[in-house]
Amino acid sequence: MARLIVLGGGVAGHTTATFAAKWLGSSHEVMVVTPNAKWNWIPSNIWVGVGELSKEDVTFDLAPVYSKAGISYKQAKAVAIHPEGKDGSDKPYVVIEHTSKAKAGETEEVEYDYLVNATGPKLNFGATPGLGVGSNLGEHTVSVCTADHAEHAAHELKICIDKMKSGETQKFLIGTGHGMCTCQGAAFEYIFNIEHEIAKAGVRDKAEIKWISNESFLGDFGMGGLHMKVGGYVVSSKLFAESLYAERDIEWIIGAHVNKVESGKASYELLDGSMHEEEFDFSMLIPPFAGVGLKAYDKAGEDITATIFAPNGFMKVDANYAAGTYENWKASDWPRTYQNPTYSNMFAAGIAFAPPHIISKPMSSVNGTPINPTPPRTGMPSGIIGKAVAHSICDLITKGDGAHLHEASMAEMGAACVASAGKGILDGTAAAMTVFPVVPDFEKYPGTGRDTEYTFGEIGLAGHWIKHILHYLFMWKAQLKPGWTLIPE
Amino acid sequence: MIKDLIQYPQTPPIEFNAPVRFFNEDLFNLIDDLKDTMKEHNLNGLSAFQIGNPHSVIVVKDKDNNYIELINSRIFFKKEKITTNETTTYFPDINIDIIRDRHIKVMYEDREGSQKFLDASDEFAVLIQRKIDYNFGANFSIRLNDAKKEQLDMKLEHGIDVVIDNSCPTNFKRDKVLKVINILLAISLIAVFSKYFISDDAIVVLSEYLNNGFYLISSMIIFYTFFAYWEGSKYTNCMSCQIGNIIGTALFHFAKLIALITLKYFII
Ligand SMILES: Cc1cc2nc3c(=O)[nH]c(=O)nc-3n(C[C@H](O)[C@H](O)[C@H](O)COP(=O)(O)OP(=O)(O)OC[C@H]3O[C@@H](n4cnc5c(N)ncnc54)[C@H](O)[C@@H]3O)c2cc1C
Repeated sequence: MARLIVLGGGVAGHTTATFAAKWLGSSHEVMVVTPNAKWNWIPSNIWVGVGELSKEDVTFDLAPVYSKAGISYKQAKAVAIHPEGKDGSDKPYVVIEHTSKAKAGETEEVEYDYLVNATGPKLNFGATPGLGVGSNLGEHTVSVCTADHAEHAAHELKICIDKMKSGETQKFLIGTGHGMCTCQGAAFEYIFNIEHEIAKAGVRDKAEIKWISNESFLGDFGMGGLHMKVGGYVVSSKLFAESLYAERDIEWIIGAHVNKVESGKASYELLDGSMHEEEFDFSMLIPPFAGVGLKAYDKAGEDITATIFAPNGFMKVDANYAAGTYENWKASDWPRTYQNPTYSNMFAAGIAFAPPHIISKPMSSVNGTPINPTPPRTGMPSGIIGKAVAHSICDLITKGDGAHLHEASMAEMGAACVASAGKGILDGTAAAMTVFPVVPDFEKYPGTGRDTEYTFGEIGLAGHWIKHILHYLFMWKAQLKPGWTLIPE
Repeated sequence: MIKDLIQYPQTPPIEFNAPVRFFNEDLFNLIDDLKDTMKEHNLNGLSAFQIGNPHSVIVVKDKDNNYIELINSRIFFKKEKITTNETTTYFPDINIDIIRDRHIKVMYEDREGSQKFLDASDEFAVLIQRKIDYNFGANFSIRLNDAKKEQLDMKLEHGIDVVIDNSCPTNFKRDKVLKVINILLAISLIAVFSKYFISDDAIVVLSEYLNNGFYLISSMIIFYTFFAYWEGSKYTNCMSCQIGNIIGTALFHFAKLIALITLKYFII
């Protein structure tokens, strides 16, 4: 009987574990190690952050779902990986630290045959002075990265709306809190949802809403922008976003590295090296992401973290990490199987894998500060990768070491983004966009790197309905309710 | 080499540009072609997109008539809005008011790939903004609101300057009724399939709700027909084609409803 341990029960890890358990049945063990008791459909945190949904609407308890699926579940966080075992045993194991109330702080060694690292990102608030400490959010801004953060954000937003109702003007600053952030899409959704709520409350004239991001053009989204066919015309996300911001009267600052946050004030550096400040009453700045800080040791107990993980803490997989400068980047640099090159029984899925390089054109200020979005690994690729990894491991277990590994390259998959721009059954809007492939392939699609035949974009009520239906579908799927396997990642 | 300028009604052979990655002979030739074409047509700015090349390259003339080569340019700072009256080589005979930024800061690369910055104001800033729009695959029509876009289409198709008063508006209130009908149809469709996920007791309740929903939808289609006729009658110029349109739309939605009822009959 083989044991597969999945570290992290988020979008990628949950997908890997649930499919592996289904395909392997009871003859092998699938175990999930994840610190939270609840699963969170993170994309819907945006609506929690404006008070349109509650934390309960976007989360559910993991234990009963895993028990139903026959998955062993440890509410704990992984601390270290020992891929060669230890003195006296060749069996690889992970050291975990329990986080449940009953066992908090206890450590345990759990042996594995196969390991999937799907620990997602460390929310690295500490990278920007004042934004927070380590992975903890600071006091000056809000966040929507977790359901708890989002609830707090909704509370702060309500205070601002009340102030505006009593005649005060409020400044809102939404975007990215560092030059190396990803997830611009989430901030994009949040700014438009905030604008929508403020307008709904009848106090739009009292709000000054501003966007700040590390993108070198509006609508870059960390993918070098996307293009969509709207009514037969191909429109760049830059022009699409600029029109939308202008229509909703939202100003923007781009090419910005936020380098300090204080009470009511964010300081930032622009691409030309100039330093500026922006005041705010309410601010949501996405933190940069890093790996969660797992350590790795060899049999002798020597630290091999640098062999297994990239300097940013994400796990090395079958990517080309020696691609060099921008002009040498190729679609084929991107990983296909997500297998660790040193230990073939270890894989990474979702945000936890180390990308070979960014997707957008690299940029830095004259002072040498990198100011460019890092590559997004959104829900859809995370789920698809998680499923492919589950497939590979199941085949390795059932067919032996020579089994063919399943592939899911981000340079060969498209992504569908449905970005909410306001929630409401009849007045909601969302921008639905597709892009193919996520990572441009300049060899296959000379010039632009993308296939415009597979691009599509639309903004309107229909998009909102799609987004809303997706919320229910993914919550349904993650709870393994009837028909869950039919719902695509 | 002088290149042909792409002009309306020709569709540009490429849809958008991508960053320049190689600073080599091909790039230098492209820049030379842009300059030759500018000289031939007496232009003060040209984007590679306008001659059908898929790279982010712009050549502009500054106020002293020096050529500035902007590769992979980005506007990262802007200040003060102005309305400018613009024309462009794609629509040579058309002038349109567009809102632009009066002062901009541009980051770009030169032909060696070195990072450079440029401050531009007024006409020069507007010129660069227009060329950067082309880099991203669009002419100035992208900056127009729906009403102005419609005016532009009229002008292009019929040479008419303004939309004639009392012509058919493009947005009717009846479209909102239609939207609600479509939403109800979509919900009912999802509800029919939700049968597979709910208990037998719940199916009985669902079936009742669906039947009531079908009555509601059919009443709304009837309401739509009369309301649309009344609303359309306010626009005398467009009534004849509207009647056909309204009847067709109503029948189409009735057909959708009948299909849904049939589906429900077989599934539930
Ligand atoms: C506000 C917001 C909105 C978003 N909206 C969208 C959207 O609309 N569409 C979209 O496609 N994507 C969206 N995304 C991105 C999407 O949420 C991520 O792509 C996706 O969650 C990544 O999945 P993952 O499994 O890699 O990471 P996560 O889902 O973050 O899961 C990681 C898991 O690992 C656990 N973990 C952490 N440390 C450890 C440890 N040491 N040991 C064990 N487990 C650990 C975490 O608790 C978590 O459960 C959004 C993201 C944010 C923040």
